[in-house]
Amino acid sequence: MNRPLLVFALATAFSGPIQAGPGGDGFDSARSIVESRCLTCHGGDRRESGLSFADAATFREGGARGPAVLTDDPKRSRLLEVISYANPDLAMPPSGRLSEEEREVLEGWVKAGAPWPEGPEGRLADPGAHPLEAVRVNLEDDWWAYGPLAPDATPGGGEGHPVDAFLTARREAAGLPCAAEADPLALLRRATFDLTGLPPTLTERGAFLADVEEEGFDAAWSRLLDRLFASPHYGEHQARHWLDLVRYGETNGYERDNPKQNMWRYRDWVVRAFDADLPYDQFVKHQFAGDEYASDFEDSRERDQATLATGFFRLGVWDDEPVDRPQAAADGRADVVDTFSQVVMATTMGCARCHDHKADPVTQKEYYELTAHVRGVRHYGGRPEADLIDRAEDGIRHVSERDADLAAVERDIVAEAHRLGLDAPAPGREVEVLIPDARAGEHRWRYRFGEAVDGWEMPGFDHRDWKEGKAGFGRRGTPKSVVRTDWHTKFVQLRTTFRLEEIPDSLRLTLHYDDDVRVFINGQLVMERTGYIVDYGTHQLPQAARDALVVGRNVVAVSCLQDFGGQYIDIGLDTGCDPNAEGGPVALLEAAAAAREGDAALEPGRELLARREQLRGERVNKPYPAQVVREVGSRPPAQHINLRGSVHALADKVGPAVPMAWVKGSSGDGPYGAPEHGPDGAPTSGRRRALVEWIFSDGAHLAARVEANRTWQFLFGRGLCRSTGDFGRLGERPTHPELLDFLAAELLERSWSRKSLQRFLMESEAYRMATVGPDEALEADPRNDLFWRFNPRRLTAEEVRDSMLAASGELNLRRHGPSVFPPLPKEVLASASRPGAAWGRSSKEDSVRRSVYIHVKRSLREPLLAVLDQPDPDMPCPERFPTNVPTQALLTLNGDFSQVRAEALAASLAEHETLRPALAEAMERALSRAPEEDELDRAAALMTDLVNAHGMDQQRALSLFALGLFNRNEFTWLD
Amino acid sequence: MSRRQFLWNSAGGFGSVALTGMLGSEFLASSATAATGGPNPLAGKPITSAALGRAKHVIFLFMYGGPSQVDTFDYKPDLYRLDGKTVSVPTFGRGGKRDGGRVVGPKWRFRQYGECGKYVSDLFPHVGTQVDKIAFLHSMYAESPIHGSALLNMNCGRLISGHPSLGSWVNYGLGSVNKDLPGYVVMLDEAGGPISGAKNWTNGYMPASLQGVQVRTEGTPILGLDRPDGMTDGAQRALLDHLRSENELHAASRAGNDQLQARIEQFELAYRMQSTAPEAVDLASEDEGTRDLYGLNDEKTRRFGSKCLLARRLVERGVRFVQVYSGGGHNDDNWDAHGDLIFNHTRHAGRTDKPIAGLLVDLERRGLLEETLVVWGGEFGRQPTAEYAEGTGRDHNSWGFTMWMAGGGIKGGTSVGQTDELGSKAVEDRFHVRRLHATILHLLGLDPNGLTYFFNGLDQKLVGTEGAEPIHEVIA
Repeated sequence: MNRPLLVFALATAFSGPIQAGPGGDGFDSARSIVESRCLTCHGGDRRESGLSFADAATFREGGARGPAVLTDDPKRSRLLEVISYANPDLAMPPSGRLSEEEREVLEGWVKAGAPWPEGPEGRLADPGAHPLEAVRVNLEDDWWAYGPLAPDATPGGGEGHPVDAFLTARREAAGLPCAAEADPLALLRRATFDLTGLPPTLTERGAFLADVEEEGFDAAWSRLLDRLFASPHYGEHQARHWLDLVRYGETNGYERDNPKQNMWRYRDWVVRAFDADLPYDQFVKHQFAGDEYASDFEDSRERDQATLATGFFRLGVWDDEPVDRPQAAADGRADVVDTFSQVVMATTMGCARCHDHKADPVTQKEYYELTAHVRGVRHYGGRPEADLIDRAEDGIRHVSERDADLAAVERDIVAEAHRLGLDAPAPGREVEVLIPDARAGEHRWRYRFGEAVDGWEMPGFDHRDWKEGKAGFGRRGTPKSVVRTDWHTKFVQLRTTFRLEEIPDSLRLTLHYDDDVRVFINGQLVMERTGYIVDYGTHQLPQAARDALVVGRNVVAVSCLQDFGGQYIDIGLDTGCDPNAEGGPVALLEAAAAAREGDAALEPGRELLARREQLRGERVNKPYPAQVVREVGSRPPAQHINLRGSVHALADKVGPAVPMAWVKGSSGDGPYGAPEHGPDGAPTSGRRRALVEWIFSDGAHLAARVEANRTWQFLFGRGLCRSTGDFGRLGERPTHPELLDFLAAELLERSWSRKSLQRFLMESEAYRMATVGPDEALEADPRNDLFWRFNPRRLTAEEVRDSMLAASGELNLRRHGPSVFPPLPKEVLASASRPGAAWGRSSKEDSVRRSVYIHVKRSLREPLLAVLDQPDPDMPCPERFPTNVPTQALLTLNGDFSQVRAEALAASLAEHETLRPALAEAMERALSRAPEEDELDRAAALMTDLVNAHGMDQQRALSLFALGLFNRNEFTWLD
Repeated sequence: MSRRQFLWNSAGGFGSVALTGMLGSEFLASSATAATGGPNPLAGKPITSAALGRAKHVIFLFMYGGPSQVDTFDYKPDLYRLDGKTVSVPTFGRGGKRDGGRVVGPKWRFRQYGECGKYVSDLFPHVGTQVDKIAFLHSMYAESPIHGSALLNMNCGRLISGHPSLGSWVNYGLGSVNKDLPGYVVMLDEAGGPISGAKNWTNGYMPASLQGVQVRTEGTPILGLDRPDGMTDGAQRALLDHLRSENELHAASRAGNDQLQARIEQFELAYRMQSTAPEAVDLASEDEGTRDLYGLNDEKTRRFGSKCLLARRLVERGVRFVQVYSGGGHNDDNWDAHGDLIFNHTRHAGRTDKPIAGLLVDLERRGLLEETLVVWGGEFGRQPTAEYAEGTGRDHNSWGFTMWMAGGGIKGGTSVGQTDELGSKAVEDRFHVRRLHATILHLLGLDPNGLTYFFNGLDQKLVGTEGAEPIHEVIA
């Protein structure tokens, strides 16, 4: 690799007096090129890589990577290197190569020592100018997002709900009145959607209103929250927020856009984590390093769940045919680092991949120090999967528990067979390995190719002139073989010895052969097979074979013949007993039980055999593949700073560390320490765990602030800091920083329980305000900075779709499991490059499940969800922006999905004999409220018009009315 | 009505963003907000003094699969006699990197056309007559020779998936002038979409209103545009009137949520679209001469011709960005001539040559060419050497290929950049895809290095952080 830059770091920096005055030595000619082609990025208002051509002084300083010009060896100056375009990753200017003449001019000027007049004459731009540098937050500055939590006592001496105390204090200071409490129905609908993403059912509404009536609002509200937080559909809705953040997709994108096998298991993990209120710290820790936490759990289910969470690493796009593989792998790491830092720490790191952050105190070095934590993670292309159990199988025994029981029964069978005098060893003996097979060890054999010589199998044969080689012998690629010694000829003989102190009562042979094999012990043939097998088999050798054994030195001789195809020979010998082996105790006991029918002495044996059959037939919870993280091993490759983000332009090596901006407000006192590598043989370096451990202890002030803000965002419609993914200088400042710190401290106090924090917020008056308030407040604070009212919100795409299904009565509330493929319009399918193979087909029942279960295919979006602002799944989406375009109205008016839902709603009203009750029920189901009388009049009038003036039958008219309900603003918007 | 309300009421519809260009950023910075009071991502960015671009619309004729430059517009006379000979030339295609191979000589004759005397192959006799309107970019290069990522490169500027497409950027910067039609229209080939489907017209991290909308010349023009069976105009109108009055009642008690009113307007717009959009796509209203000009009377050219004609009708109605795909699906259903070059290119050029020439003629005679930038090209070109031991098939080539532009402020009759003598690699005045994008934005009056969208802590640009200069040599 061409790495010229390292040279410059060692060379003498440009210094010394400028050698020519203005106009001399080509400066004027160089100047016009610099001004037109370099200055935009290096000088004036920008200073890429720290390099500025603003004036002689800044030019002399050089850039982040050293001087641009080497006075002692001008030909090797970096400036000439980059304009030569020799290394495309460092080519300058990136907007297009300089012309031949321009390069010659610059070359001549550089070789002349790059003279640059001092002072005003050589000043091409304002050297101090940089629009962001003027506002840049430096590490020593006091920026709100990085400081320690300062949860002051609540204003007003802590009366009332603390949230209200904070908000009221600010409103009163501004002299702003606020909205009254919303009516109970609006609050029921608000809370139900906010927590479950579904409308309240008629029953739920009735129960809530009855509670309000009988026990008062506060008690009813409390009971409502109890129910909603315990709802089995809470997790599905909360998960959707998180899936936006982590760019959840179930295909790889690019040319083939292939599915990621069982990616939905990660989605289910997220859903379950929310349902179980998995504390946020663990929620993130497991996603980032669940494999490194798994061993903390005794329960294999918990281990599997922690590992499953690491599917987080597998969600992103992946090009199976990248033009530049190392760069694509680095892009994959950057994708994870950018997502993680934005989502967990609200620090946008993307800029620092190429250069120090312009506005935030994050350096390029820090970016790669953070990247070092995931340096060992295998790129997706390795198809990392692990067999993990599915929580859906909870309640069914894990296969390992069944296997343990089975092993116990089989041990009893051996003991029983022994008791009955069958050929089975006595219980409780130790197993001695006599010859390990190639899977278990690297046993050294004497061997010889060619046809066998006389007496080769006899104990007295002298094999000292035979070659020595490690087991097993054969040709690589033979199924289930472990080849350590190549054997390509037709014949092979192997010999080895072992010692015995006493004659064992059991002798077990493991054997893999391809083709014909013969095994001798002390010259006696104990096993002979022809043909071949494709995996190791186990055999209990009979008494006759054990009779060949002697105390002291024993000789084993093996011959094998190659016929055609695969080629392999390996054996192992120990004193163990495999009950299930050919000729083993199970077979012997079964034969005895069959032969001695009615013999009471065999009864316990029969029971054991029956129990064994029962266990073998038991339905068990069997692990199956899930996408998980994998590392290359305990020692990750070196992480270098990538100049300009290019993996082909490496600068200094860096180790794992966290940005100082995260450290400065930390309560921790020790320095950050992530391991360079894990213990030898460990599957990972341990760096990821070290990072998240630090984040949720020493860095908890930041992580808590971010999550508390997001918790607020999904209840109040916007974060206290509106840019929930960017707490940096270019984000928005929080409207209520003290409240945010207070809530972050609350989250810590509540052990990261999000349900608990949500409930706390929903108990405030602020959450219960109406969406309409005093006109003067609207006039004074239209952005609602001071929360003088509750922000109205449009339902999300998923909520709209699910609500239509709920209102029509079709919604299938089955949870979890593989994603579903509701029918798509043929026009949408036609946009795929393989229209016939682009989308699956689900059953009718599955097609009406909640939207969170719809397959997320990157190149083919579900049109209703896409048009209603479900984000493109390739990038993290911290906040959805609801748009308002007529193509939405076209789909909700004319689209198949809403038509079919409207027809289903109309059909379900057939039991009503008269029209008005049918209309009333439709409205109740769609709008979660009883209709007004005059509203019913208007609805009935529409029906009459449709039937009389437009020739529709009653049923069709009713479905059109239902369609109208789905399109009401009241249906789509929450008060 | 306050300024803010004015903005909001206009902020529905397809026309929303046009205001950003007209009103300037200062106005927006102080008054445009999202529903929750957050920053409005549609607020746009300052438009430079060059704001009054000559082009107001773009028609991007996307030759999906990658047409061969040496068989179309990049005349390499020496290549004919090398046919069948083995040469040493590095190439990089789907088959990986190679050091050389058997030359496949150009399979068509080139002739000179127009005042500029441009050589064009016999694949494009009609386009040949239009060369004086065209600027050829012979030295294009892209970052990938693999369809999936190369399509993203050409459409979204990046190899990495998730970034907004060119049409989204144009509409973000300028908005549409027609509220009844989407500002960003995509027309696909009957064989299917290109590889990566919707990724090629995605809004990426921008609001969903900026995604490309598929419009069809046959069947339903726009998804959801057709009323369901049995629903008459009158019945729908009755429903909409009812809906409107209920929505008005609902909104009346909800001051401070302008989005409610805006959504009421959307239903009226949608209703209008049901008549305006079919009118826009109704090619039968065109006179016979025009229909013939686009090849509508010939089965071979009818389908692509219909799309070109529709593209003209859409830009006439103010649509900003129209992308028309020639070719879809896989293999010989598009320009991806791996096997039989003659069969493949005869087929696709045959389907598109006359319609493309017709489009240029028609735009000019209607005075639309000056304000409509037409772009022609694929995601990459093809190699001068054969992909296989036998046959004429060529592998992908992103190191050098030809694209062309016409209208919209382009200097016609020009050719810039050169590939080597084999037509294999751009060697002179090499133009990265970013330069093409920069030229398109520039001609629309947008500063390619100044048009930014703030996302993930970064002022994102179509031309990337590297920036790009427009290709000034082709600008009139």
